[in-house]
Parts: sequence; C-alpha cells; structure tokens
Amino acid sequence: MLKIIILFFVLFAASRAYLRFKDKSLNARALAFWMILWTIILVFVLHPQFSDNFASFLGVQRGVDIAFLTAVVILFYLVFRLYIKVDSVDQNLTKLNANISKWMHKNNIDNKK
Amino acid sequence: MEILNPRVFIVIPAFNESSIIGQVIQSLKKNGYENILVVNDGSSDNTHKIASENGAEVLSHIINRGQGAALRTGIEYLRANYDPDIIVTFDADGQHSHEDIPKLISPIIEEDIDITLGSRFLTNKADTNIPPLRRLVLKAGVLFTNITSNIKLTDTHNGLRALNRRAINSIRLTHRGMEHASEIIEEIAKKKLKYKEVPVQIIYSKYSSQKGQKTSSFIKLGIKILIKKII
Repeated sequence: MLKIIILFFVLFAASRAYLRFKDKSLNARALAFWMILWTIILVFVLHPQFSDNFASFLGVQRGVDIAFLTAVVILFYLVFRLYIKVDSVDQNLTKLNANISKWMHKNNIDNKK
Repeated sequence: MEILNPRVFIVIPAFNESSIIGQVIQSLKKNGYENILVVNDGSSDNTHKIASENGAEVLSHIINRGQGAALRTGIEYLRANYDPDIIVTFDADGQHSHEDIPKLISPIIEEDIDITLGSRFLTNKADTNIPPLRRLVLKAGVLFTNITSNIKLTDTHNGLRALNRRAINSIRLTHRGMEHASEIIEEIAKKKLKYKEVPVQIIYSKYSSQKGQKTSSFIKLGIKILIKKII
C-alpha cells in the first residue's frame, strides 16, 4: 500500500516538474536533476533489495539508512540553494526600492505620506 | 589632509516617526545644520510630509526595508548628487543630540580620521542612563562584533557616526536591517579605515525606548550575521 502511495506521489511530483519545465519556470538542468532524483527514489521504493546492495557497497548496514542520509544531504543542499536565492531576491528588492525612491524624488512625484 | 569649511550632510533614516521627526529636524536646523536628508523607509504615517515641511530633503522608500537599506539609499544619493565632505548618520527617534555632532566631525577634520563612531559607554552620565537589560545586550553585541571583526570598540550599535569622503566611497552596506551596524565595523576593518570612538549621549525617552530595537531582536541579529558570514 505504501509503495502505491509513494509511486503516485513520485509520479505527481515528476509531472509537476515537467509542467514547470513546459511553462519555462524550470530550466532543462533543473528538470534533469528532479527527474533523476525521483527515478532513484522510485527504484529504491520498488526494489528495496537494490538499496540494501547499494548500502552495503557504501558500508552502511540498511538500505533505508542510506535513503535517509541521502534525503538529509539533499534537503540541506536545497535549503542552502533556497537561502542563496531568497537572499539575492531580497537584495534586488532593496536596490529596486532605493532606485524607485530616487527616481520618484527626481521626478517630483514623492509619496506625500 | 585638513578640510576647510567641510560640507556636512546629515542623513536620518526614519520609519513612522511623524510625532518626533519635525522636532529632530528643527533642533538640527537651529544649530546650523542645513543639509538634512531624511530617508522615509516606507512609513504608513505622514513622516514624509512633516520632514518635508520642516525643511529636510526627503526620499521615500515605497516599502519598508530596514534601517541599513535606508542609510544606504541616503548615503548613495548624497554621494551621487552633492559630493559631501562629511556625512553624519543620525537617528530619527530623538535619541541623539545635535551637541554631539561637532565632537564627531572634529577628529575627521583635525586628525585625518575616516570614520568616527559614537559611544554611549565612554560617558559616565550616559552609561547610568541605560536600562540594565539593554546594557547587558549591548555589551554582548560589543563582544560579538569585536570577535567577528577584530576591532575593539565599546559600543557597536550606535547610530550616531560621521564618515569622511574616503569612508563614504569605500563602505558598502549589504545588510538591510539593524545588522548594518556590525557590517560598518567589519567594513572599517576590511577597508583599513582610520576610526575613532567619541563619547556621545543617548537620550532614553519613553518614546525612543518603544521605538528602538527590541532586546530580543539582538539575538536574531547575531544569527543573521553568522549565517551571512558562513554563506
């Protein structure tokens, strides 16, 4: 049952990534990243013995442990990427705000509040 | 190099200060400071109107971005349009006194100092005036900034400063909130600017205490600075 739920979730998430690629809010590299990620998750869910083999290859005992470790690393990386992105948007917003205020002042259309 | 008759500009970042901004501008004007720029940081009250009516030049952010962003806007605007010899940063909430401005300016003119920083801890009178919890948090901030910037100061979060042309042209602010105070000190270290602390008084009125930084926000501030340093 859990496998079916995860299968549907993975298909849903992959379709979302594809739709975002279609409307150009995701580039090809990002789409490839998400597709590879979801495919790996799908393989691990449908064939748990594969993850166990992979885990023993890496020196971790259980397949599920390697899945958790990978998930944590990926989440950390994504949070990091997100932080960088948010910070860059925030700085651009500050610059834009400053430039608008100077432009309004120069053109004598100040906010009179 | 000694500056004769320096062109001094006062920049005042202001957010919802309509009840006091007029008084602050008037006290500066009465004491001979004519070049006053108020950066209204997205206020929802009529800070802009009152500052303008009291004779200050006013820039208005359309949204609130924080004191660091307002100072950056003000300094960049003055640098691009007036080429000032000295810029004094001054708080809008009535905490600062015009009497301290000559004390900040004189080391720049006479001792070739690039930036002077006001310190409330260098005067015994002001020291006793500081609420105990605020004093503890400020001291922790001083320790934190001294470690992270390797510059030894007694007061790191004091908004009363004066910058000469070298400091105006070299200090780059990226933090838009209150973290800019620590960033200025880091910039002093990085750009090897000559600095001096000057004793100033901070007037803790009921209004300024309500308007000022919350003690708890200093912890968030420290975390923000650390994250920015890591990433």
